[in-house]
Amino acid sequence: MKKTIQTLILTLIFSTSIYGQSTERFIRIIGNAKKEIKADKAKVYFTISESKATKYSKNKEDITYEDAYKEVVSKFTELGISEDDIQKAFKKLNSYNNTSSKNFYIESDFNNLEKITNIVANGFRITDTKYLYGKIDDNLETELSLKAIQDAKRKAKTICNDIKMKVGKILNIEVKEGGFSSSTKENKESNTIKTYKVTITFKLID
Amino acid sequence: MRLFAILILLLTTLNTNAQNITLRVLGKATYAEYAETNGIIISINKSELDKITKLSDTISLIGINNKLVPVAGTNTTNKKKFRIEEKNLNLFDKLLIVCNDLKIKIDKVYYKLPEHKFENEDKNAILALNNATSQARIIANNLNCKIVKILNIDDDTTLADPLYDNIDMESERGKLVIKLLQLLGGGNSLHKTESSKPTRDGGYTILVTYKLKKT
Repeated sequence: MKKTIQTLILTLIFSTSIYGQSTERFIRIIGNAKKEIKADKAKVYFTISESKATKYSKNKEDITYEDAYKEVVSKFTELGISEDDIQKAFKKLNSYNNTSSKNFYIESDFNNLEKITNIVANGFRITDTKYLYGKIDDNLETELSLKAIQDAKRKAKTICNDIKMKVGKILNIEVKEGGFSSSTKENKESNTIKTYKVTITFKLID
Repeated sequence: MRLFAILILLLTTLNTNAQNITLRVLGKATYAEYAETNGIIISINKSELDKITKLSDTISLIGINNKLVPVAGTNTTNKKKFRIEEKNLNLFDKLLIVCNDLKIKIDKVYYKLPEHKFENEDKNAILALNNATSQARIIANNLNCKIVKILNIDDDTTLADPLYDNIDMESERGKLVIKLLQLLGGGNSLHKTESSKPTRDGGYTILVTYKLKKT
């Protein structure tokens, strides 16, 4: 008889436990955070090409690729940029393509960017400017994750206050977005927004 | 005897659980954020940069206090781009006329949307929850039940959709996919403040699980 009662109690506890787990009340909220990041460098893509004299052109003489290249290098030198900083770039399939035309790029800080884009030289043409985000603060991910957690907490509290319930302890945290890469990325925009998303499950209390 | 007692207990537990009706409802709230100001991006040939001085003087005379700002990174060998924004729509119309008179090419007319604030989502979350509760009440009435309590609340905002899980939001390709999805949905990006549309449409969805009881 004693054994039967013990078994009954154990079964009761076990059943209640299973039931309790399956109906655990929760509020799962997504917390967000964002921060605007400014590019610290720019990558200027340009073409140097030979130019043939026409009746419409200012120069009445042909300018060879070598001469055009030398002129561009001297313009860069005036800005304190050495020839070694000029890097060769791949040609785009649809770009202007003659036998003596080459594509290059140069990485520059913002102080020189305006000066580079204002360079006027024979056969020199800027084709594109992209921005680089090389120095993303190591603490940014931590900062954003904390902000996202606070956002989730605030939202959960606001919702619970509205339905006259309480936010209990955290049951689960799931990071939906983040993991910033430290590598340099090219972007068309000089500003970009880094976002962070976290899903937090809180216990829901009456 | 023991086996019989266990069976009785198990059946009673299962029976109690079976009497509980749970109802899961998706509550929705939609919202729109409106443009605060208009803007234009103009491009000028470097040989005609004197037009910028003329434009600056004219807009100042008609009462536009904002200045022309060079657009970073758009400076090419031949052209230079500038932007200017104006809140007053009448003055903005005049600005367009002045550009036309001076034969200045307008590359883009855009709307400046307010910055999306996550704090503002709280009220939308509550609206979505209220929407779920209204739907739950209607269903419960039809089933001759009443809502006993809320069991679970599950935030299910648009980007939480599993559809977005495999998209690398950082990559150019990922950004393109998001943009495409937003275009298909007719909305603007949540974080972009410059838009071709005067509104940023958004939505908030919440999944709510209710416990119902037969009346």
